[in-house]
Amino acid sequence: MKKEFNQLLAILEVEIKNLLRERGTVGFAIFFPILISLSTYGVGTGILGKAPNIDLWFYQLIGFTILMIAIIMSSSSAWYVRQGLLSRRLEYLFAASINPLIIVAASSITSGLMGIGIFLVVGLIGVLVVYGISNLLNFFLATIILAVSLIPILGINLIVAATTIIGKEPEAISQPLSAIVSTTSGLAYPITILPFILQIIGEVMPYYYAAEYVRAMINGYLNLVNLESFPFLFIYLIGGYFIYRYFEYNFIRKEGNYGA
Amino acid sequence: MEEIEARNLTKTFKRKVRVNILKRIERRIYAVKKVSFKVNKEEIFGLLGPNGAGKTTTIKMICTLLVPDEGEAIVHGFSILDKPEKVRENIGVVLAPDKGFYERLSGIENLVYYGRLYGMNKKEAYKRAIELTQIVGLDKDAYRYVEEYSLGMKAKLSIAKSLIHDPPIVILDEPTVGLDPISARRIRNLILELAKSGKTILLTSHNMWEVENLCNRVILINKGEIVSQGTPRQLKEKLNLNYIVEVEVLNSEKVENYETFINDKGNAVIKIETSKPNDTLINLLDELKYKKYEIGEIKVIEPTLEEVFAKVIGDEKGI
Repeated sequence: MKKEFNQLLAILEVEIKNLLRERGTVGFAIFFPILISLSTYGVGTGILGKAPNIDLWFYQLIGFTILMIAIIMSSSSAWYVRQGLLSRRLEYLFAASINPLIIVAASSITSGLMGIGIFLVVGLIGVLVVYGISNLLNFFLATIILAVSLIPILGINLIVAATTIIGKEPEAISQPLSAIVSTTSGLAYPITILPFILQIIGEVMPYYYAAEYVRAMINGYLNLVNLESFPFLFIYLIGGYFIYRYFEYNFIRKEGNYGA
Repeated sequence: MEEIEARNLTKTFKRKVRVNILKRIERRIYAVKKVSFKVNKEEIFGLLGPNGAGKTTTIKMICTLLVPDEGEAIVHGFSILDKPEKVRENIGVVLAPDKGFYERLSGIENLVYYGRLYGMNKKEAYKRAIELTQIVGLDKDAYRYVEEYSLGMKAKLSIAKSLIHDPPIVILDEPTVGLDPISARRIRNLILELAKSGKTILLTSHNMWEVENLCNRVILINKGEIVSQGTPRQLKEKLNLNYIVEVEVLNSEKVENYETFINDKGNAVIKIETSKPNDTLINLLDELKYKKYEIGEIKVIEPTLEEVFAKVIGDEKGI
């Protein structure tokens, strides 16, 4: 177990170092939710002829931050596998004595940590603008809730990574997923306004719960009843693990889909 | 004692083949078919063959990167099928000398990373990485980003990476491909030093000269099957390839009964192609001595492995 933990830390460390040397990406990821939420708030002001309640901006700011985190996590897993196959880094990892789950989990955790970092910066700006310092404690608790809510999303990342092995093109997998998440997960508007089928899709995806829990925590009304669906979301983690292992064994180690 | 033993390794891959404008069918193509060989401890063993011959597929099965359809291999006493994780602990691999690195990290950071993947703690990995950069001659560039490295430097870093956990077996897939002659020579010297230090080395190459000069034993592989194996000398002897015997005759422009050419010193040189160079040379020297010729330089030119390769592969292709 100590060896596995050391391996996980090694990958995390190099992935984070690598990420920090790509500052432009981090800057864009922070700027994106602020830009989009301000744009939609501006559009709303134009349509209504007066500025809507500032809470609506905050609602969307949190929603778009979760969307950004979802995009980063899913596309980084897909890219990690794709780039890893193309650069042959994954071959070296597979030739080392390391559990492949550690490889993908480390990549997902890196993007998750980046997501939490983005949330801390963007969310703090939003909380200070809308609530002042009164909701700061709730905000920091919400960050912890977000970190826990991202765990089931690791399962989806494993599925994205697995499908990238045969799908080859990372965008073809991560972008439709991001489109579904942004439409159905209650990020920019409540899912209750959606047609029934889209509501169902939203409710079975973990992103919806991440956004709802975080908003509820910041506003101080999160309780155990709200969290009753959360344990079921861990089915993504378990399912993702088995799907990934199946794809890795059958399409990489048996069929030799390294690279090309 | 064998460090690697491959027994009937067989691997097929699915390929889609178009049968007409509308229909494509899936077929299984043999990449490697019943390949068996043994690599002894502290030996440099070469896999030689043209592109697509099955060299890399064979190596990938031995590295546990690919699961064979049939057969198996025992590496350092462990089966690639039953104990793949033990096999991985005992091998170091170079699959593409310029790839597999984080370009935005330094050489040292990359080595420490790989060291930790093999279970070393950060301090141990760092100490070993420093040691290896000195061994491969990268100590002055160890803290530069890999993206600034030349191909030769990346190849050295790749070898350092394969040695980070001090494995008894090192597997090198085309370790000098794309390198300039000086870098390639450095890598070859490094390989020889590794073998002297007790490592067992399995390498693939297109470069016949390299294989001939590095390897104790070689297998020639074509279309996934072994077509010949032995020491470079045995391969040449098996195919009965001709040696060239050249004898310079001083102060003479021709020699009776022999075909000659004039060298740049103005002397006649007798040139004979023979499969038995020792007998031919002894008889020729006796005859020349008897006829009172003054003998100059003597050369016996061995057939190269390239000729062996061309003969074996050429015969198969009907060339």
